[in-house]
Amino acid sequence: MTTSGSSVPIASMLKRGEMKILVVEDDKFLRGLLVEKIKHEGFTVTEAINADETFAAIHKDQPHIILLDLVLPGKGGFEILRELKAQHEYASIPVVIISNLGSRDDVDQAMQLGAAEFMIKAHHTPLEIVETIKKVLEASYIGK
Amino acid sequence: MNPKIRHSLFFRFFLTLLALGIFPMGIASIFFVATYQSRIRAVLEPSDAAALIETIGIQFGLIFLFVLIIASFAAVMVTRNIARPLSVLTEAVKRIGAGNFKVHISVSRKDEIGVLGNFFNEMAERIQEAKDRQEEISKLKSEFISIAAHQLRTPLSIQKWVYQGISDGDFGKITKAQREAVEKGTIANESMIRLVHNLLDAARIEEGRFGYKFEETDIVAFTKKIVDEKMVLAKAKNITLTLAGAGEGKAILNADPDRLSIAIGNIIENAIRYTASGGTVSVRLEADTISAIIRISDTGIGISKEDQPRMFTRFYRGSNVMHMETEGTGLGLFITKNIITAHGGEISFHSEEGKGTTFLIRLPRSTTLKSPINPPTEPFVAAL
Repeated sequence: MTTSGSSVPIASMLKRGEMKILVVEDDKFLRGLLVEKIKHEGFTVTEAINADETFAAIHKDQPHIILLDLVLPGKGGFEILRELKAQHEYASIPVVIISNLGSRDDVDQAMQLGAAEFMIKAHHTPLEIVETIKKVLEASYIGK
Repeated sequence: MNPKIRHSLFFRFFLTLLALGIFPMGIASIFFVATYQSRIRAVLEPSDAAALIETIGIQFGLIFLFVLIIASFAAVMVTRNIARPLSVLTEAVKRIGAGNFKVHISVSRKDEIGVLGNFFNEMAERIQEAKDRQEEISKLKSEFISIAAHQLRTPLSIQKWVYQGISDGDFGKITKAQREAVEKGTIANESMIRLVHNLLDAARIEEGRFGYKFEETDIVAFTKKIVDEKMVLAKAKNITLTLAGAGEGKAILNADPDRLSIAIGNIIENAIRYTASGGTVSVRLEADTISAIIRISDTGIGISKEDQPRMFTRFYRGSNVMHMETEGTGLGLFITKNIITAHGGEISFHSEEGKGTTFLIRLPRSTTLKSPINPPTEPFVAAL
């Protein structure tokens, strides 16, 4: 399968606003910037700022992909990721970590827990994050 | 005689005690001879006299033997009493000298040696306390830096994303002048992000949490890759970046490729950064069975004689680069040196101000190095 061929379904889903993404980020300003950029790409965005909201959003309408911050009030991103991957019906949702943590230990832990990608906020622009989201979606839904 | 025996306490005590026994014996025998010999000869028959003198001789000989045994026995006793505790103390002091302050010697004696032992224990405790306090402070300092750096990352990310949004036109059309201003902001923002990144690395190195994952790495392919990666930076500054010595073959060594590329990347970046436009940066790789040597030479501004001894200290930047407008964190070489050392390697350089600098990195070819050699060299926060 060629890359351009594989990206067509995602592009068409994006065009129809069928691609659902859940953004878990507690910083209002960063979340605003990111959501703006993602919406602009055609995603249907749901937002959450902590673990409770995250799970409520997933139960209500299962997203295709989750963007997850690690440092959150209360239950942290690692814990959310662990719980998600432990639940059979949600384990296959790809999770992209966006965090300001970024030591090797953090990255290793997230990847071991089943994260699809790890992006350090300060090292990537929203545009790069969007590119990564698309790449991960292709790998998770079309590459298989 | 073996000098070790000759200088031992036992031998000295033995000689002293022997002398103490033999001197009075000698004097007694001289007096005896002077006083009695002529009279014995005068009173007794010559044969009886000879027998008597012989008996006396034997008696003296026996006494001498007795003195010898007593002297040896006494010397052993005294030595045990003094030299034993001394050698225990010596062993304890030796350990302290080697950096192990958790030494305690059990003292049961009440004499001068006992007092010395008690003082020693007290001293060892004090040193340990001071060391603990020092470590605690150092830990707090690097913890503080970690937290501060993490806290800085969020606002820095916001800045970065906002600048990016503005220059992408997300917030409306911008003028040329506005774009230029935003680009300047972006450069400053990137250099802050790099500083924070380096600060976190340096703090992790110091806390001993800068983990290494060693794997078999082909240094030839590794060097080619890293030179390729830095090509963009070199082209942007119109600097010729060349690689020599990396042929088709492989040279496997045990390394952490991510960490090593930070270390060698820092050196190549520095070479590019501190070389004027039009200059050359050449990387040369030599590998034999024992080690791989990477030589990075530039035609840059060089490092002055006064700056050279402090180049690997954190936050130190050459006096001549401070006048240039290039940004730098002053942490790159500190991080590089620590990474190279953890690989069992060495880094050195020679430089002539105005002519250029050559850095030499030597990495051992051993593939047995499983766990990193990881003594954090010097506490980097000490310079704050």
